[in-house]
This record gives sequence, C-alpha cells and structure tokens, in this order.
Amino acid sequence: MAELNFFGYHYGHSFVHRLDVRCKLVSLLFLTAAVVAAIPVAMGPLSIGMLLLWVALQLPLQILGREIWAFLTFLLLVFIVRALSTPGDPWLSWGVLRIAREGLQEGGKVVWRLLMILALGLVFITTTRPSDLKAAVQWLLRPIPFVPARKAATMVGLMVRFIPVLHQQIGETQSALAARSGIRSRRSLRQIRYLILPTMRRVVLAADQLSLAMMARGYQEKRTDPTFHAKPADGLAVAVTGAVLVVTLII
Amino acid sequence: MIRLDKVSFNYADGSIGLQDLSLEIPAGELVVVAGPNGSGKTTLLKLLNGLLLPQRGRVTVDGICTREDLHGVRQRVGMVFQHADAQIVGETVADDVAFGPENLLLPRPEIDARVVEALDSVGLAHKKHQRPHLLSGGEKRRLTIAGVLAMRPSVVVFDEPFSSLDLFGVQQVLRQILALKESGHTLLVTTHDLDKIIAHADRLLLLHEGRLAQAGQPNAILPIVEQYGVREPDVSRLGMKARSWLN
Repeated sequence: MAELNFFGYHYGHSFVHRLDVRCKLVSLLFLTAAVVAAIPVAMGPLSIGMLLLWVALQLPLQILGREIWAFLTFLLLVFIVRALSTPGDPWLSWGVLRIAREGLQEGGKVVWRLLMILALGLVFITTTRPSDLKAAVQWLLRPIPFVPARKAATMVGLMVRFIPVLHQQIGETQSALAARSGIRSRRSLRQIRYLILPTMRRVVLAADQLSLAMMARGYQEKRTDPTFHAKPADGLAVAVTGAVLVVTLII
Repeated sequence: MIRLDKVSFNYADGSIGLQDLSLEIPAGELVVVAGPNGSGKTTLLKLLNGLLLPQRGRVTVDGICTREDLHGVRQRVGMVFQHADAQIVGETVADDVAFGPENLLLPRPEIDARVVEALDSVGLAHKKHQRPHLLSGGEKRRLTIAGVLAMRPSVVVFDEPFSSLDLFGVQQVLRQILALKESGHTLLVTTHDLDKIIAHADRLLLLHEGRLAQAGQPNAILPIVEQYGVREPDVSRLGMKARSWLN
C-alpha cells in the first residue's frame, strides 16, 4: 500500500540530505534555470553532472525508472507535437502529416530538458524531509503580501501526509469493486466510473475528521515557526550552482 | 476534575446527542463509557474537548469552562479519535507529535524535548523518522496517544481505542492507558466491548439515547448492561470477576 514514491523522502546522510532546505531550494532553482537555458553542447556536461550526483547520492535507480515510466506518456506527447509542428526539411511524409528533421531534433531537446528537470526535482524530493519541505514553502511565501504562508505550509504538509492514505483508500475500493463486480482491469472505464464516487465520499469524510482532529489539538494559524540552520557548506552549494548557471548562460 | 451540569446537545439533523447530562469525574479516575451506537458517547467526548459546545448547561475541566477558554480546555483534555489515520497530521512520526506543541506556540527546543518524551513513553522513539502510514494499527493508535501526551493534558479521552486492533494491538494500547492512569491522568474510554477494559475501570457509565442510564461501580452495573444494548462480558455472565487482557 505504501510504496508510492511521489514526495517520497529517502532517509540518508549525504551532503545533499544535509543541506539547509532554503539553500537546497535556491540551488534547485539555479540548476533548473541552467537546464532551461543550456544550449545542446552544455546539456552534455549538465547531464553527466546529474548522473554523477544521482550515483553519489546512492538513490535507487528504480525511483527514476518508475517516475519516468509514469511521465513517459506526457513526454511522448510532447515529442510528437514538437516533431509534427516544427517546420523544416521533411524526413517523413504521410498524407497531411509531415515530420521534419528539425522537429525530431527539437522534440528530442525538449524531452531531454524535461527529463533533466524531473531528475532534479526527484533529487530534491528524495533528499528533503517533508517537514523541511513545508518549512521551505513557508519561508518562500513569507515575503509575499496577502499570502498566508503558514496556512499554505500546513496545506503542503497535509497533502504530503494524505497522498499515501488516498492511494491506500483507492486500492481498497478497487479491491472491493473487483470482489463484487468481477471487474479485473484496473483501468477499465466501468471501474473508474464506480471508483470516483466512493473515493470522493471517503476523501470528504476523511477531511472532515481531519479538521476535527486538528481542532482537538488546538490548531491555530499562528504556530511555532520552523527553524533553519545554514552552514558554510550550504553557501558553497548555492555558489557552485550559481556558477553553473552563469557559465551556462555565457556559453 | 470534570464537571457537567445539565448538559444538552442536539445535532443539526435533529438527532439527539446528549440530554440533561450531569456528571462529576474526580481527577485520576479511569471511567469507562458504554452504550449502543448513537447513545451519545462520542458527543460526550467532543463536549469535553470543546469540539462541541453545549446548547444548554455547562462543561468545566479543572474549573475552566469550555465556553470561556476553548484553547485552555483543549490543552487540558487530549482526545484520541477512533480512526487513527484521520488523526495523524504529521508527515513523519516526530512531526505528528510536534503538531500539538507547535499550536501551543512553544519554543522549538521545548517542542523537541516533548516529542522525545512523548515518543519514549509510548515506545515509538525508534520510529521517529518513519512515515506514519507505514506503522501497524497498534503503533498508529500509540502515535495518536503520543501526539496528545506532548500537549501534557491532565485528561485524556479515548473514543473506541480498541476497535480494529488484534490482541497484540489491544494489549499495547491497554498498557498505555494503564500507564497514563498510573501517572495520575483522568481517563475516559468509550467502548462497545467492555471485556477489554472493564477490569481496570474505576467507574462505568451507561449512556442510552443521550441520557445517563446508569453510573457506578463496574461490578454492580455489569449484570444489567444488556438492557441498554451493551454485551455483558463472558466472565460476568459466569459470575466471575472481570479479568485483565494483559494476563
């Protein structure tokens, strides 16, 4: 039931695990910007760096495989749209459909960038404790006027907490459906139709119970703020990733 | 000391929660509240924690009225819900225990100390980095108790604490309840299943259709509980003294 890897923190002691969450977030933004801005020549070193980081963190490769598999349909769609919509030297023609060599190259580049961004996001998620993630959201939103940073952080925390519960409940309802109706395919339209209402009802009931439980423990918007402990190594990480962005922009 | 004076509460759909309930529970007592579904057990607990406010009458805990100081009452009365999954709000075991103290605006070192203390007391210190949904049923129930204990309440109320637990889970939770009694907490436990807790109860309350039907020493009331839709424990039927589930 609990093998969902979205938002899945993997306990560890690597240098990335130990980074202050604010610095980790800024570094993530720098590297993402670098990936978005990089020309194909710069994507090579960035990809090698990404692979080395993944290996150094000793994160299970299955995580990458599983998340890419889930993301693959979207990437394939992006690739097809790019390949069909980019004008240039025709590589394949079939009726009104024309695929240009430039379209294939463009589609490949976009998919590569998206894969890199996905991998960076997974590094962040798998090395950041959910409570630190919540603290980072609060820290990031605090300067923005009229945005309730504490409330938003609590919402993020609850989302992280309840996604596995929701997953478990969907699994239970699916099993109950299969037992009573004999619908075996997990993706059949019939099953999806019968799945939505009971799941929604359980979610609403769970939300109601949750709000009661939070009130029972004295929940209020004004709560003890998270604490941060930045070290020199955190500043170094920001400097290095910032340098990577600058070099990528110069190239 | 808990005191209810002629407390009534009806739900918006017209169903009766409680009717004219008057009750006093001295500090340190373990009170078992029994009754069929809809008899008002959970309503009573919610009124004690201030989740519901009485439409008539008055509820006070250690002299504090739920109408006048809701935050103070919730700090004094910890409530452990029937469904542990709905009560656990933290992304890790330690984060969940910290939720209550954070609401009390305690400084971070004090919160950390309370988390360690509460997890130690329920035997979950070694799982503080664990994600809650990976815990067993008994462990989840103990985590919800730790979350309440971290607020250092004087009263802890349990809503059906033994439901959906196996023997080992029941024993774990029962040990926890008895440890709380030992440390001087006032405890209210609602249950359909008297067998699991009655040997340790100081008092038994029977609720029926929102009214207090019977209250007194468990041994005196057990023979008549079935009149009120609660199963009499087998040992009581056989004329024997109630036995602990820990033996």
